[in-house]
Amino acid sequence: MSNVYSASRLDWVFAQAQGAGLLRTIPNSSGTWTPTGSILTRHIACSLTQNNPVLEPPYKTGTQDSIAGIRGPQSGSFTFEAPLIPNGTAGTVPDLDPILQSFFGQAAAIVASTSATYSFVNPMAYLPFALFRFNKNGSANATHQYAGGCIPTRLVLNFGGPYSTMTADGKCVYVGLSDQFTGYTGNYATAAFGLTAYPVCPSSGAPLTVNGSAITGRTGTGTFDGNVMAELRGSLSITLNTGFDLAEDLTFDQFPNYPIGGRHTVSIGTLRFVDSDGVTLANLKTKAATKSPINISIAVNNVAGSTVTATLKNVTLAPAQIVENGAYFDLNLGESLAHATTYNVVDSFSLAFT
Amino acid sequence: MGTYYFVGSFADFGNGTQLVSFGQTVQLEDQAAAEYVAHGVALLTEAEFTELEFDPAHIKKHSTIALQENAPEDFTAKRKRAWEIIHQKRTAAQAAKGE
Repeated sequence: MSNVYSASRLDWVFAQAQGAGLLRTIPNSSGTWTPTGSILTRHIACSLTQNNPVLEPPYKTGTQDSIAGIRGPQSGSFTFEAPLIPNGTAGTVPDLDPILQSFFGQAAAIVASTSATYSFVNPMAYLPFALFRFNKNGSANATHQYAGGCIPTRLVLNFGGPYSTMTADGKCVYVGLSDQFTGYTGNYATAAFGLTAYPVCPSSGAPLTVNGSAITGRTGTGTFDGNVMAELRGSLSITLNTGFDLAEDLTFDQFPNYPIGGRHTVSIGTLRFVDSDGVTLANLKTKAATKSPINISIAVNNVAGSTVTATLKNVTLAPAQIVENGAYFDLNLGESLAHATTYNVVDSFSLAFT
Repeated sequence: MGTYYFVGSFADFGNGTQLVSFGQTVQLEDQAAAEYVAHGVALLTEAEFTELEFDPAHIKKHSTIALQENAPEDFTAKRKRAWEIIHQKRTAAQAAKGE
């Protein structure tokens, strides 16, 4: 009998919020995964990485060789790339909600029929989520994965390309594999996240539903310091680093725990404008030189229910560079950081679906 | 089993059913419809949709988000009211689940 090889397009990835403070628990009922509330994500790529190092023995053996080591501390990480798709109904969160709310530490603020807006909370809260990857190659023996206790560290939003996309990276408590699940006992029981059976892929019902139409990254408005800048060209990215970390060196625990937040940063990069003698562009050159902070708003798409708006406050622009670009001179601005408007608030960035 | 009207942009139930146009109808058990609404699908009951009194010509002309960009005020105002109802239904469903 021939092997069934795993084609990377034949997978489903579900995202599910685990709940505040439930880093080491995947939603379950008496050990059986509860898929209610999980969401099938339309994604581009997803890597769930299990960190399971070997600790090489430090002691001598009497030869130049060493003997086999032992299993080291466990942890995991994830990278998840997806199109940024609004729900299509204003006032409703997008399918990516479990991941997005984890970045901001709180659920989106909803204004009925108008908007769902993610913004930071102070002090930072940790909303872990789980990712479930089901191999759909049809084999009963296919290896499935889950990443439990995901804590996001970096979000990159890409606008201006054919599609608006996001890439989320982060750490997790562990990445479990279906064919290793029965070994998640004893000192390694944490890897089961409270489950007593490996999750079964949903075959019907709400978790299989996806909402919203993909939106182009090439319609919308870029507003810089109150001026709509039509000269903006190419794609741009917004990067959010949460500063989140997990303690991975606990003395008597094989798995990481206790998420904590450091300094979070939000920056906008790869900004390019068609250079001109225009007043609004001159203003940006001046602000880039003087470091007087400006507000930036990037609104993609302009249809109610399917618009995404990223707002960065108090951005200090990187130095303006005049760079040849074919027949043009471009004005390029490097990675520029957003900041809070004052002490004791966390309003440097928000992401709205309207 | 009842008739439900879709007032979103796109939804795929993963079972062969796709909702791709505003005002598209689908037959669903009430319990299933409630779960879909809680999951983010914009579904109104026949009574809720009828009460909004959408102009059938507008529904036909502005059936997708691309066609709604310059939709008339009469359509967008009723669409906004439809989404308010969706919000109320979802909030009620979440409250019932203790979320």
